Amino acid sequence: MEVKVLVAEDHSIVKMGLTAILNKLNVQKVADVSTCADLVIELGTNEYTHLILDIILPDGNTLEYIETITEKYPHLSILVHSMQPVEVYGKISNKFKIHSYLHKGASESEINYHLELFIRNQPLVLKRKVEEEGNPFSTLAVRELEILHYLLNGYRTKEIANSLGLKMNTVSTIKSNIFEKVKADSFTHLLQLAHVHQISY
Amino acid sequence: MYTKLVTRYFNLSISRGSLCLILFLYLFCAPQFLQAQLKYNFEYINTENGLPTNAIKGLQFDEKTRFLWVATESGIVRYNGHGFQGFGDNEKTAVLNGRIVFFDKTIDGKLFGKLIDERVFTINENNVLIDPSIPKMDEEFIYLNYKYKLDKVYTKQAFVGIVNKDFKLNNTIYTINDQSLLKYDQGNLIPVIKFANEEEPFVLNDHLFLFRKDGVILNANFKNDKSITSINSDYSKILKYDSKDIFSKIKVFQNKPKEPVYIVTGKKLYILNYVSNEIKLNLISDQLPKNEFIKYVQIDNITNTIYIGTDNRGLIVGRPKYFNRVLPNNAIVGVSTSAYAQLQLSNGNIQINTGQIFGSSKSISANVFYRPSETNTFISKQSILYMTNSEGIIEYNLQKNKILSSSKDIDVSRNSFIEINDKIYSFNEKGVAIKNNIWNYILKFNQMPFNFIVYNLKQLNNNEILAATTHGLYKYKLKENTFTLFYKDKDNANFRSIYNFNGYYLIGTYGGGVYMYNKDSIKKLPLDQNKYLNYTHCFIEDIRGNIWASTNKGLFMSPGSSLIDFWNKGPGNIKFKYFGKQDGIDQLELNGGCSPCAIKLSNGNFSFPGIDGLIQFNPDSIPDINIQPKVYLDKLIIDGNIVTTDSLKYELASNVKNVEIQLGISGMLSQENIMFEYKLDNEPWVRLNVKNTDIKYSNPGYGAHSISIRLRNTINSKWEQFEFPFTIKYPLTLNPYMYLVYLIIIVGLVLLYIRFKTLIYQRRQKILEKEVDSKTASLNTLNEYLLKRNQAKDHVIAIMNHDILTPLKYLHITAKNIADISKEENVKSSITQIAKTSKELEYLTSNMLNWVKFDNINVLPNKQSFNLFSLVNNLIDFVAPFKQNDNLFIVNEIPEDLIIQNWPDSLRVLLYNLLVNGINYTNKGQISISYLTTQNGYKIAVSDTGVGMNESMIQFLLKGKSRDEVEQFPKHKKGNGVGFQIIRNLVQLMNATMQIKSFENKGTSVSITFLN
Repeated sequence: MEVKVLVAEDHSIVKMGLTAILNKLNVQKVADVSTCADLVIELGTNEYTHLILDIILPDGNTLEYIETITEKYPHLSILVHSMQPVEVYGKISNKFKIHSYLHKGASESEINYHLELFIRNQPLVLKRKVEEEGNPFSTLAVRELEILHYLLNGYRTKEIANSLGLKMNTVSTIKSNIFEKVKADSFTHLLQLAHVHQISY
Repeated sequence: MYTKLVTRYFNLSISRGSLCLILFLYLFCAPQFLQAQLKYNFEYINTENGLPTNAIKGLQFDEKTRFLWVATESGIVRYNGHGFQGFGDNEKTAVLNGRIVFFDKTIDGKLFGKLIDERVFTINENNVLIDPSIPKMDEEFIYLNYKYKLDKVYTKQAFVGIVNKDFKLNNTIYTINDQSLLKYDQGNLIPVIKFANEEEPFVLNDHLFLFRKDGVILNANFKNDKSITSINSDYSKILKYDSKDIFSKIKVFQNKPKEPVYIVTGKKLYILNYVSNEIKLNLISDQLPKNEFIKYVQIDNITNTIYIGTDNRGLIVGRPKYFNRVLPNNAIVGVSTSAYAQLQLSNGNIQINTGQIFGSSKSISANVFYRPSETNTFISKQSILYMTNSEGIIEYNLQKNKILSSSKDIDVSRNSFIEINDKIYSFNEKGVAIKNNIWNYILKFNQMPFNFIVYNLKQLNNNEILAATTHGLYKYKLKENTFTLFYKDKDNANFRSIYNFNGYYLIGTYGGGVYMYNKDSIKKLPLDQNKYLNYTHCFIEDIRGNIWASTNKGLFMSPGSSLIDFWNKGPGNIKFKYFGKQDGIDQLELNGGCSPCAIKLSNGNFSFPGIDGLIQFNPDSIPDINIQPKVYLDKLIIDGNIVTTDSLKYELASNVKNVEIQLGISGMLSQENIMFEYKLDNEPWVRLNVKNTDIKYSNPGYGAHSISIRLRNTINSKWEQFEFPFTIKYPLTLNPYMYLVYLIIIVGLVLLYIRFKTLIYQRRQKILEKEVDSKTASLNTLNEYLLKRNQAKDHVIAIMNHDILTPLKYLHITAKNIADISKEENVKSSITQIAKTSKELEYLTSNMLNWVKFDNINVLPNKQSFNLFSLVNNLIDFVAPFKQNDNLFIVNEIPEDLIIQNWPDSLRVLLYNLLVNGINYTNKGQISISYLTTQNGYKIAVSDTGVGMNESMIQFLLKGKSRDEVEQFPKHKKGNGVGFQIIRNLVQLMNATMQIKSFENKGTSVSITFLN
C-alpha cells in the first residue's frame, strides 16, 4: 500500500522540512493542513496511511481529536510531533493508539530515525526512559491536559465546559485537580509554571 | 532613826568600861543632856550656786519626789541635791520668778504658794503650775478653804494667813492674830485665848502647845472650850534663854500639824517629841552655823539631811559628816603634811613617813620615823618595821621601840619589802635582795626601764609574788628566781597597789583605772562616769565586806560581792558609792604609791593618807541608804519652742526637726552616785552627767520614736527605765493612705499615657493605612504592569519556542535537503549557507531560551537518575551539525552504563554549551567528554584540542567580568558570552564547581565537579 502522509502543522517551514525528510524516505505523497478544522475535513476527504500531528494548532488543541480520529480511522498511523514536553504529553501514545511522540526539539538524526520507523510502521524502541520527575505537569492525565490548554488560554470554566461538552462541575473538579497536582496556588502561578516547564498553549 | 543612831554611836565610839556610866547619865539626865547624834557638814547654797536670791520665803522638802522646793524673793525653784531648776522661763510663767508671798502645804500634803499677783501656784511632782481654777488668795477664807479643803467657811476677817499661824485641830480651824488664838465657827472667828506674849503654837499628837519665847511650853486644853493653860515643861535652861535679850533667839518650826516640830537656838537644832504626856527635846545638831537668821527648817528623814532657809543668806544644807580630815596637832615646821605610809603609835596617834604626827593624844610615844623615810615601809610578823631612809635600810623593833640595824648593803634609795617564809625580801630598781645576815641580791635585773620603782608586793602562792611597778605588773617566781613582766597597761600607767580580797587581787594604777587579778587572769573594771577611778590609790575592806578605794577625787565604796560578780559574770553594773565633799571629805585628793596605804586603826576607823592630812572614818557608821533616783520631764522643746510636756501624747507636726527634752533628776544624790544614760530609738545607750540632762533628738524622721532614759543609784545595780515616746506625723505626701492615691494617679497616668499613645498609634496607623493603601494600589498597578510584562515575556518565550526555534530547525533541515539535491553549485552553496546559518540561529535561540530559563530560577528541582552516556550521545548528535569540518571528532568517553543522580535538563544544557564552545574554538582534532569519580563525587570534563585560552580569558569565563572588560577580550566569531553566562549560572545552581585548564594553541579542558 502506498504511503500517504498528512502533516497537520501550522508552520509551513516545518511542513517543508518534514516533507523533505519524508521525500528522502521515498514518501512522495505528502499533504498538509494547518488547522484542526482542515484536519478533520482532509481526513474525511482523502485517505491517508500516516498522520503527523502537531498538538497546538491555531484553532485548537488536537488532543481533543485524537480519540475520535483513532476510532474513525483505525488504520491511520499517527505520530504526534510537538514542542510540548515529552514527559507531559508523551503519555498520549500510551492512551491512544498512536505510533509515537516526537518532540520538535529532538536532534536531526533522531527526527530522521523516528520518521523512518514511523513511515515503515516499525515500532519505536525508546533508547532512553522518559524522565517524568521534576515536571509537575507530567502528573496530569490527558483530560486534564486538555483542560489545562483552555485554562492557559484564559478560558473560563463555563466556556471550557461548553467547548468540551462537559458539565461545569466536571470542569471545576478537573481544574481543582490540575491546581492541586502542579501545586499552583493561583492562575498566575500556573502560568509561570507552564512557562518554566515549556508547556505551550 | 535617832535611837538607832544613838546605839550605833555608842557602840562604836565609846569603850565598854565607860558605857554603864554614860547610860546612867543618859537615862537620868535625858532629855536635858542629849548629845548631838551626828556630826554635820554644812554647805551654803546661795546665788553663787544657782539660787535666784538669798532671801528665802519658804522651804518644803517633798519626801515623795525627793525634791526640795525653795520659795524666794525671786521666785520658786527646785533643788535636787546638785542643782536648781527655775520655772519662769517664758512670758506666761515669768511671774514665777517674782516674789513668793508664802509657800505652804495643804492638809492633804499638796504644796502651794501665793504669787505676788495673788494667784496661786501648786507643785505637781516636778513642775510648778499656776492654777487658774484656784481663785486669787486676796481673802483669808479663800486661803483657808484651799489649804484645809473647806467649802463653807466665809469671813470678813482680814487676810492674815502666814505659814505656821493657822492649824486644824479636832476638825476645827484655828488661827492666830494679834496674840490671840481664834477659831472659825460657822464663818465667824471667835477668840479662844489671848496670849500674854508672842507664843508660837504647834501641834503634837493632837495636842496644841504654845511655845513661849522664854523656853516654856504651854499645853493648851480645849476640852471644855476654856482657855486653860498649864505649864508643861520649862526648857529655858536647856535652851539658854536670856531674859535680857529682847530678840529671843529661840524659835519653833512646824510646817503643819502632825509634822515634826523643831526648835532652833544658837547653834543647836532640836526635834520635839510628845511621849507619855511629856515634851522631849532631842538634839539633832549642835553645829548649826552661827548668827544666821533661820526662817525655815526641813529635814530629810532618810538621809538626815538638814535644809535651812535663811532670811538673807540663802539655803544651808547640813549633811551628816561621816568623814574627818585629821591634821597634825603640832605640825613639824618645814615638813609636808602630805601623808603616805602611816603607822599607828602606841598612844593612838599616827606617825607618817615624813615624821609628822597626827592625833590628839599627848601621851608619850616612840618616834619611829625619826627621820623622813621613803613611802614604802613594811612590818614583819615579828613587829619589825622595815623602811628606807638616808641611812639605808632600817630595821625598827616596834615592840621594843628601838632601831635594830641600818644597812647600806644594797645602796638604793627605795625598797619594797615582803616577808616570805620568815625571810624579808627587798625589791628595788636593781633587783631582788634577801636579808640573811646582810642584804644580798639573789637576782639582779639586767635591763630595767629608767626610773623603775617597785611600789607594792603581794604573795600569790608558794612560788609567786605579784609586783606593782612603774612599768607594769611583774611576777617573781621563787623557785625559778625570775622576775618577768606579766601585764602592762596600754597607756603605760603605773601599777601602784595590790590588795588581796579573798584571792581576788585588786590593783590600783595611776591613770589606768582598776584591775582585778585572779589565777593568772587579769581584767579591767569599768570606770565611774567621772573617771575618778582612773587614779586609784589603795584598797581596804570593812567588816561588812565592802571594799573602800581612795582616788585623787574622793573615796569609793563597793560591795566585795559586786566585784566578784563582775569577775564571774562579766561586765555588768558594778555597785559602788562615791563619797566626796558633800560627805565631809573637804580635801578630796588622796595619796597612794606607798606602803601601807589605807590602814585600820585600833578603834576600827579607817585612815587614808591624803595630800593634806589623813581622811579618817568609821565605815560601820555609814548607813546603807539606797535611794532610787527618778527622772521627770521638765521641759519639752520642739524646734526651739517650749511646749507643754503632754505635747508628746499627740502627733508632732511633720516638719519637726528637733525634739529636745530637759529632765529633772530627783533623789538628792550627788551627781557621782547617779548613773544616767539615754538612747534614741534603737541606738546604743549614751551616758550623760546628771548635771546636763538635756537630750536632743535631731531629725528623727517620720513615724514613731522614743527617747529612752535609764538611771540608777550607783550602789544599786538595777536600772530604772523611762520612756518618752513620740510620733512625728507623716507629711501628707508620705501618708500611707497617700500611696493608694499615688497608685491611682500612676495607674491613671499610665492609662492616660496608653490612651494617648493609642491615639497616636491609631492616627499613625490611619496614615500608614492610607500610605499602605496608596502603596498597595501602586504596587498592584506595578504588579499588574509587571505581570503583563512577564506574561508578555513568557509569551515571547513561548513564541520563540514554538514559532522560531522549531521553524529554524526545519529551515535547516529543509535547506540542507535542498542543498543535497541541488545541482547548481551557486545555489547549493547559498542553500548550504542558509542551512548553516539557520542551525546557528536555532542554537542561539535555544541557548537564549535556556539563559532566560536558568537566569530566573534560584533552586533546581529534585535530582533524577539517568544514563549519562545516552545523554552525552544525544548531545553529540545534537551539536554535530555545528562542527566546522569533518576533521573534528566528538568522542563520548562516558561509560555506557553509567547512571548518575543529577538534573538531566540542566546538565544537558551545561554540556551542550561546553560542547558548542569546544566546537567553536576547535578546527580539528577532537572534543572528548569524560567522567571521573572524585573523593566526594564525580567530575565531568569537556576537553578539546582547540585554540586554547589565556589566563585572563579563563578568569573571565570562571568569574565573569564587566562588560568593559569583556570587550577587551579577543573576539571569536562564535563567542557572544551567553554560553558561559549559562554555564556559570548552572554550575552555581547545581552546587558544582568549574575548573578550566587551557593552553593556547593546544586546547582547553573544562571540568565540572559535582558532589554526591
